[in-house]
Amino acid sequence: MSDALGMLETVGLTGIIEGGDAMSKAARVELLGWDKVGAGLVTVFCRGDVAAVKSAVDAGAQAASKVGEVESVNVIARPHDELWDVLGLESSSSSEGPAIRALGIVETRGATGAIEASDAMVKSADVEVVKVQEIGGGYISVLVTGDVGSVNSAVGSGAEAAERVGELVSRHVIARPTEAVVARFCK
Amino acid sequence: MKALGMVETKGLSCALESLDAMLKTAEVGYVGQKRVGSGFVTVLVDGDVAAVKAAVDAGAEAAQRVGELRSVHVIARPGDHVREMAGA
Repeated sequence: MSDALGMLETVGLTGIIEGGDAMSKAARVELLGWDKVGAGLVTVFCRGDVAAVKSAVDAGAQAASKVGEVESVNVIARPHDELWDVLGLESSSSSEGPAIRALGIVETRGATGAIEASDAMVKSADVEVVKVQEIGGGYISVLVTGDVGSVNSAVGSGAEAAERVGELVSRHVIARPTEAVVARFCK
Repeated sequence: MKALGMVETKGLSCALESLDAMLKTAEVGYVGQKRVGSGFVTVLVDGDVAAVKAAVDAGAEAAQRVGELRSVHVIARPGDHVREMAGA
């Protein structure tokens, strides 16, 4: 196993979803998965050859910094064999996620905002909630899917609703998420 | 009885960089990791005292380079309950 390991750590799930999407679009890398350590800190991992991983991670960090806060970025060119076991992420491309068109994310701190946002989203446009993800530190993300226009307008009203009753962390729409992102984040 | 070394960081990527450095630097084995919330991750290694000391030094330096190092410690002769607590 001579692959390089790339990681991108952000505060908030929106950052690694957008970052992970940019990573898998920027270079030939395999998105391994993600992990959380509390306080809203989440890390997404990728593997591939060193140059690919480096450019993927750069692109990921840049994309993530536009929607959230990047905590750290790192590439280990030749990880110790045991490190892959420590990660504990299966590297199979067979794992398929649900059918996703555009992906919308509204992230809040505190449940009230998230509940209100998901209610507003499904009422305002033809979207479906695919996942509600907690990552610790009070961060909750609601992920919705539908066609781009619906997702855009749903996220708009979801964010507004979240702001009204709670604390909105971030909102984002990925018009065409990669399969890897869907498999890792939407299941 | 093996010595136990630990490096605590804020964030996972920093902890993994540190663990990678430790495993590469000296003859130490990975024992486990402890997550106590608030983003703090501790990685633990064991081996003989000198190896663990060298590994932990390298691990701390690597962690500092990448992110936030919280604390570093080596217990030369840990009690059994300590190993249990560490998840060994």
